[in-house]
Amino acid sequence: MFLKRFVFLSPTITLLGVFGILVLVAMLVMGGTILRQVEANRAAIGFNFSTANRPFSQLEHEVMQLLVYVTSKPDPFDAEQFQQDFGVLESRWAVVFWPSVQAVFPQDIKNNIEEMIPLWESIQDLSARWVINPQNEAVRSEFAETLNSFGLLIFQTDVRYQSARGLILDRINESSQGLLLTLSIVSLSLVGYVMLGAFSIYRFIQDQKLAERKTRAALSAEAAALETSNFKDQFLGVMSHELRTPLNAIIGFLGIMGMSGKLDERSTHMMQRSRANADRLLLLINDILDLSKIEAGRLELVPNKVFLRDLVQRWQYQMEVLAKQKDLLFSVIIDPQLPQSIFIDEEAVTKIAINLLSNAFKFTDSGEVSLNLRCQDHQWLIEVRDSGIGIPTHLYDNIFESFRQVDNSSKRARGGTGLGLSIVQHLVKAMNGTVRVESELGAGSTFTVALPIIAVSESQLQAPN
Amino acid sequence: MHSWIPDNVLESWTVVVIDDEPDALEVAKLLLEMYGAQVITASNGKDGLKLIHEHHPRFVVSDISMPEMSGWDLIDALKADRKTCDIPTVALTAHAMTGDREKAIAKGFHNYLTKPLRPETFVEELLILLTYDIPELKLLLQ
Repeated sequence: MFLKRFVFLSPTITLLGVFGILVLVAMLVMGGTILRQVEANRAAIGFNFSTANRPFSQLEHEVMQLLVYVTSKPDPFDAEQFQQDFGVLESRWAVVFWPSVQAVFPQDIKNNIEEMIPLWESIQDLSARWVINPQNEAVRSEFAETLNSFGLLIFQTDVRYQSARGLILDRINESSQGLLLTLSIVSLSLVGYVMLGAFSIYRFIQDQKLAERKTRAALSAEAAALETSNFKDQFLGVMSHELRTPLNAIIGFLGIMGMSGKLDERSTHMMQRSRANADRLLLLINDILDLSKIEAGRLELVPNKVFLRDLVQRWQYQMEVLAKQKDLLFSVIIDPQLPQSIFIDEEAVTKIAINLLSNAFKFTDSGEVSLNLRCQDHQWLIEVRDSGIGIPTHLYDNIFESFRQVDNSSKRARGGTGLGLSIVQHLVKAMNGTVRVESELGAGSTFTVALPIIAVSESQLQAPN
Repeated sequence: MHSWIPDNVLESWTVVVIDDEPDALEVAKLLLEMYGAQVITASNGKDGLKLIHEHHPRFVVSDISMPEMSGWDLIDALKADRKTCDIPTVALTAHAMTGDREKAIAKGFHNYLTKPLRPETFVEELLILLTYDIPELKLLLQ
């Protein structure tokens, strides 16, 4: 009968009908799920209805709004006012909602959770019958009796057909300390009395005190997390200070010894070796602090306008010393397509470039090291190529690990902390870029870092910073 | 030693160095003396402030974390006094975390150097930082 009529309805109504049926199915399934969840939660922690925090669909949301409206209105229910207030909603959905039930459980419900299960079963059974025949007086009174038998007070509104019709149990306003159960049985009807479907919504609104306790717990967890991160900051700061202080004396005195020119050859040698090791220790401390800062999530990128050529020139100056020491060719090429100035954290990008370049020089004994800056697919490529010892393919991933070099024994011969590439990888990631390596054993390696270009336009250049 | 900096560039200059670490104090003192400076040292901000008032040095190099009177309080006191607010005071500190430098300069330090200092270039760096405030250096570096 229902289906027959359905076929002749306009497409819009058909759509609504399909929607209604879908919602009906979904809600019935959900009802069962909630009951099972009640059981499960009761066993697990005693009292926790997670459905209270379930996000609502648009329709459900509007239904809930309506329920709040209905339940907050004084008795008798003003149908005309209701039409006015919800006219938009009604015309949009072409539906009439009726009737809905809200029940407030007594405050001591937490101690009597057992009693809730049969209540739920009764309500489910009743609501299913109600949906089929919402105007049946017998079902309504049976519903009221069932709720009464569970100690729930019923408040009935006098609402006409095509308006909201509800049984309101107790007063919602007084319920803030207890558990509020909202059970709405909603039928989707056209104004012409054609019933398209119906569904029921169960919603638990948690005891406010419980919610407050939860909020407090969440807040104190947040505070603890903040304290931990502050502690990490402080720890890093103190570590940095305490490690640098003795190194200042060691490096300082060694330097003064060297500058005095009063050492014999043997002493000069020992002084220089001490100094080289102190410098290495300083490098290690700096790297460890950088890495722990990054890993503690304390890395703050501060992008600024940077002139690309100036930046690269500074890298070049810094590296030319190494090139001269090892008698290697060092070439720098900048793609003219790259913007003149970019928006970037200068310290971070310098760390990336210097680490890659020092590595290239470290592992190259003859030939050349080149730095190639290119523009590709809105990305800025920093390519560092060397003609050094190379990396076996199976170790491509390992070299980015902390304290890792291709041959761990090479650390002594080549120097370095083994943290450089790990830092590079972390920094590149933080800057939304990528780093990859290509290498041929004995022929050299190429590291390519790709960073997103944020060019600074002319107008921004002229604007005072 | 840097050829462009004469060995006697700081000759007859009085410089106050303040640090609670005796070793750090000695390193800085020896390096400055290599260029002819007359270095007076103090181990906290309070004594340092007294020496600055007494000797009116050409510049001051000061640590930040110190007992009695910290570098922060020292710079406040120096900047608040018309007799001392023009003396360039460079912070030399082992605090090298992000933001420390900005904080130091915002507080009134002339500039900021981190420990460990590089002995070969320490005086050079210092003099470059001070160029614009000390006329003789401006002439020298031109």
